[in-house]
Amino acid sequence: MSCQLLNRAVNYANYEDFSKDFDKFVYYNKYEVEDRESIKLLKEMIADGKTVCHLFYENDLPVGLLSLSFENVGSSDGVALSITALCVDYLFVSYNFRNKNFCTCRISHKILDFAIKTLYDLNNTIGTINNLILLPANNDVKNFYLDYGFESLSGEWLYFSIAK
Amino acid sequence: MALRKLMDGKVHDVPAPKSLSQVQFEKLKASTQKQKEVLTRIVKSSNVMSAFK
Repeated sequence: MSCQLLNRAVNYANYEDFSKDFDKFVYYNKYEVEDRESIKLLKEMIADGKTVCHLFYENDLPVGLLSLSFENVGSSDGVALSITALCVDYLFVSYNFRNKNFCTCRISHKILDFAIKTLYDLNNTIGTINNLILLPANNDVKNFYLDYGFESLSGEWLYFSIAK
Repeated sequence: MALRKLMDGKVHDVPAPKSLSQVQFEKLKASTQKQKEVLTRIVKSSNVMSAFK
C-alpha cells in the first residue's frame, strides 16, 4: 500500500461533479441506519456552501471523508470576544478501513494530519486562524482525539492549537 | 457546526461554543507541547506534504 491518500476535493470545479462522487462514496459504504441521517444533513450543508467536504481515496477506493468550515468561538466573560477557528463538521472513515493501519497509522490519523496541515496553510496564508475544533461523536472517539493531541475546551468540544 | 446525534436521537448541526470562560478562551491562544510536536511532525513529513495533492 502506498503512503499517499488522494484528496479529491481540490479537483472539483463545481458541486455537481462533487455530488456524483459523493453519492458513489455513500453507495460504497452502504451506510448503516444511524449514519444515514448525518450524511443527508451533511449533503445539504455542502450544497448550501456551509461546509467544504474532502473525499479521500487510496487506489481508487474511498477510504474516508472530512468536512471543514469556519466557526466563531466566543467568550462571554467581560468584553465579548471571539476568534475564528477551523471546525471539523464531520469525519468519517469507510467501514472497510476502520481499525486498519494506513502505512504506520490509522486512516483517521492521516485525515487529521490533513486537517492540521490545512490549518497550518490557512494560518500561513491569511493568519489569525490558529485552532482546529471538533465535537467527538462518543467517548471512544474522544479518547482517540485526546491521544492525537487535542485538548478539552468546553463541554464535549475539543481543540488543537498551532498558536506559538 | 459539528454533526452529532443528540439526546433526541436525531442528528443536529451543533454550533461552536460562544460563551467560553476567560480561562477556556485563553487556552486557544497557546499550543501545548504535544500539539507543537504533532505540528512539527506534520510539517516535516514529506509523506504528508505530498500525500494530499
